[in-house]
Amino acid sequence: MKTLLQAIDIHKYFGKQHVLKGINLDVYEGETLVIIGPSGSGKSTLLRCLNLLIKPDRGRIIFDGVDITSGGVDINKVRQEIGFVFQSYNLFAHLTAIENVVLGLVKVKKMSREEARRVAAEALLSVGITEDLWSKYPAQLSGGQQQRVAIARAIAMNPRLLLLDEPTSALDPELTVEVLNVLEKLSEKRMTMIIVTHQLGFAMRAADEVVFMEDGKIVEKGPPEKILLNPEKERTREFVSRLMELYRMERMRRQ
Amino acid sequence: MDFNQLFQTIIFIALKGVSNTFLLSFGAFSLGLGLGSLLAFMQVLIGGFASKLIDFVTRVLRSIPPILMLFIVFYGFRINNVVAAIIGLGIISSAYQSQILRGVAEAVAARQLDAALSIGLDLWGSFRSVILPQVVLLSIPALLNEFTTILKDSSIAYAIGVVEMFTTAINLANARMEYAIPLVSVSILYIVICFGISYAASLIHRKISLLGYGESM
Repeated sequence: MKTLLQAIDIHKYFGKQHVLKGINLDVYEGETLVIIGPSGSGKSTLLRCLNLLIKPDRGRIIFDGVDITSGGVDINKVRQEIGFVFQSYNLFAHLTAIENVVLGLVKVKKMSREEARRVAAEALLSVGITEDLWSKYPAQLSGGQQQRVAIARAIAMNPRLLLLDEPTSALDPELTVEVLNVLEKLSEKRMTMIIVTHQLGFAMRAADEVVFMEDGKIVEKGPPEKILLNPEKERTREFVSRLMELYRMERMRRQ
Repeated sequence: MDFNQLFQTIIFIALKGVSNTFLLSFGAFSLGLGLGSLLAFMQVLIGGFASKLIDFVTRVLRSIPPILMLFIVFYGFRINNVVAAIIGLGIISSAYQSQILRGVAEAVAARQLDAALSIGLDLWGSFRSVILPQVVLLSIPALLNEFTTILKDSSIAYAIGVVEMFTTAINLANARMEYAIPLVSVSILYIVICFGISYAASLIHRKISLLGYGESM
């Protein structure tokens, strides 16, 4: 398996607060990697460091064999290859669903408008956004629809890697399912993804690897069966069992 | 009160004064918008010391009474009184307009800059394609509000002899030795104009709400 992204000893400080304390992470081409961990453990910060939305204070990030943390690299070029999906969707509020997808294709990929609309239409259909929704503004769409448009905006750019920061945690359970289905499909198609999520069922089904983070460090990583069902570290066990309990309560509530 | 006479007085003041009132208002507003955009742009994109300096300058400008600013420009530079009024009101307004634009720009950037960067746009591209269009849209109601403030403030150009609506009303009152009708007339004119503008602002505000922007913006 080819390594697509390698994070080496990543450190990040916010003022005096040491948020990331030496993260080492290898991501292979085509794998789905799920990051779990309590809030404040640095998961989102790590994800934002990987496409340099936040600049790490120390450490290196090697993407496709190139050190993107070194000075000479055009980070805007790199970001074209790394899609990002935000917890709160962050669609461009002044643009319709399809224009949200078209913008990057025209301005960044320099496609003609017709070609961009064709690519955008394809991306939107692939996440289940049908033509009747294309000319709606983000505020006129449900959360689940907005997040799927955001995923379409990212995958239309044909990225090598997709980063997703708690893509379902702002959604109702019913809408969570429609987004998770899209992500499972992408995972089956071997889109390389790093997903911060606490959806254990999804992690079980789709993840190749699960990483447990706490206090700015990676505590444990491995295949989902091991981390979620039979972890080595006591801390991981505690956290996962609490998540399991919440997961069960959520299911009971729905039934 | 004689309504016929009131009506005639309103028409008289409107015909004689409204053009200068609008000239002052549009002139000062445009000058303020140009300067204000420049200041806001520098604060948001450059930041650092430039931002602190501009903060200080706008604070100073907002502390000066408009009538004092008019006197400074008019007597200081000995220029035409209409031009002096436009410059004086415009400079003060630039301080307010820069604050409006900066506030909106920062609020928009906080939510949308990362998203724009993450699809591979550079900083300038993000600004032009994502931030700026939303800033323009979202600033309109507050800027229209600022326009009504300038429109009312333009009445102090009376003090340097510009014949606009307020001056016309006062001259008329002095000539007739009767104040009630001219003052009521000019009040009605100001009220009608300001109501019209704030109605337009509320229509635009409603349209903006449809795009999902909160009340606070």
